[in-house]
Amino acid sequence: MTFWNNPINFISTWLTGVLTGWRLPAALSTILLYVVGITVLIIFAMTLDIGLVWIERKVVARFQDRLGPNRIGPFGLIQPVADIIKMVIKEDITPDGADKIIYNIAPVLAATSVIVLWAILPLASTIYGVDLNVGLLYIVAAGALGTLAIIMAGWSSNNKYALLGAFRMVSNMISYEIPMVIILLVPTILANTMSVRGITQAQTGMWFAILSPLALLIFLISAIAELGRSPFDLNEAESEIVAGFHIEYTGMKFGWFYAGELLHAFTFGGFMAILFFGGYGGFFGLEKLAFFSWLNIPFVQALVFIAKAMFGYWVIMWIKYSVPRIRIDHMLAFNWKFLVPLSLVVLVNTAVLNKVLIFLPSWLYVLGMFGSNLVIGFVTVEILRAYGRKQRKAEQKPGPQTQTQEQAL
Amino acid sequence: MSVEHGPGRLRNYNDNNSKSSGLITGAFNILYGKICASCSCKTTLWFLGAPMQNEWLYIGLFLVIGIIVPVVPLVFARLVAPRKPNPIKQSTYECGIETVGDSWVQFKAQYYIFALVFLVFDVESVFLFPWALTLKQLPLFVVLEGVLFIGILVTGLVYAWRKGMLEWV
Repeated sequence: MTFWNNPINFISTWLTGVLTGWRLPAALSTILLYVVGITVLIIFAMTLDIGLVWIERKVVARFQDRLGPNRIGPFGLIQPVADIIKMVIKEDITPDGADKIIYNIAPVLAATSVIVLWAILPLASTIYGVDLNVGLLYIVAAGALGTLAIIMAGWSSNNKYALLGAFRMVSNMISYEIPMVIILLVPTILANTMSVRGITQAQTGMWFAILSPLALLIFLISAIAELGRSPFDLNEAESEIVAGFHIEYTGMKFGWFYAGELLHAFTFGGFMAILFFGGYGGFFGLEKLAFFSWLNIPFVQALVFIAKAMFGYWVIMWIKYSVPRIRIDHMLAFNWKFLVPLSLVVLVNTAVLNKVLIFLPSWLYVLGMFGSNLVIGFVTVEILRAYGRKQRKAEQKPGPQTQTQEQAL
Repeated sequence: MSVEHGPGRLRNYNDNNSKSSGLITGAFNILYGKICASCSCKTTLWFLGAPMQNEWLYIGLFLVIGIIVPVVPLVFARLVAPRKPNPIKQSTYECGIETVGDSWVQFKAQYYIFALVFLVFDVESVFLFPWALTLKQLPLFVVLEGVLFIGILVTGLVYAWRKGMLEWV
């Protein structure tokens, strides 16, 4: 067992040896080892977060046909560091009417809810915090913690805009969480486990994105809703309620909401990669070939995983900067009348077909799963189209007005 | 499980547990790190005992350090940043207009019926996880029973929809 094959185990064996040499009790040395490992992992996540600030600003600039930060350092790379220094030395204002304790806890909780997700994020086959056998439920639970932080911030600020932001966040939560939980059952069924590492390993042959593309789509939508990013950014909605829940926050407290949101988006890109794109594992069993055996080196796996997570993050950014904000009642209707039924259909389809087609040769199995998803998607689109046609007809009936408007245009 | 055992002897507490002290044993199990009575985790007295592989201890430590890390910059900012409070600065921000009344008022959430439906669905979807987890071992008959359960769920959703529950009120 060398460093390159299993770095965590190598270092922990070495450190355990050192600590035992100091005659520490075994349990205490284990706890110390955990603390060291956790600190390194969190610092890695935070460093990545600083990089994400730069990436986010550069990408949004490209989407909006601008240059983005380009003054401080090469390509503006030092810009996020300057941002952090600025945030730390800004005055921290707590409004007089605020509920001070909850007001101060909320930004910490917003950051913590993201950081705890990294405990189960497997960066490589041998680099991971912990392999929970209820990993998927842990994702849902930690996500609820982030929602709670936003509600706490909105309520405790004693500001009407912030309160509206918190109310909208609750509406966000009660609409996305059901499709999210139901669609998390699809990878569970396909991989026969709830641990994220197990799900990754189950995808060495075939990505779940191909076995169930609709599940991927629904997961992406509900993840964006959980993040509260555009088109579901009702809780911030700059043009309506100024900044929503974080309107009263200044300095580093605002910084944690901002950094937390970026890291949350990246982490959900990572979970999308894990659940549907094979995570750290390579590309359709490519790493089993002798020529591509270097894909099995843990550090290469970590790079592959981060690249896939960045892809997910980029898709979330792409949607954020191209889609306008959805209205709140539309969001509730969209989630309850469209996403929930669709996710239930996808779940039933996956459960039954997985049972029936498993005896067939694997290529037929993949074709059946993919084809059934295509059929469901096609039928859904047709139903929506028919519904749209009906609605348009109903609108045109009273309407000489609409016709004249169309003619005028 | 009796009181006169010293902390070091608690390692074998599971051997002599009688029926009457089941609750106390359970409490000790949770206190000293053995989360589940029947699982195979080797944890004993976690601050003195043998080496352990307790993943929930890891999660707990992660939570603690995950709280400490965001707090550190906030404390640092408190030391570095200026603090010159005045009534205008501390007032509620409402785009320049002086704020009227308290914002902690009773507020009509027009989506409260959605929230009721949400509660029902959230509880029921949890029941699907054990079914999905053991799907491979189950016969087709039980899989279809799970589908029947989902069918009942859908019936509830359709009922709520037809009754106008899924509307903005």
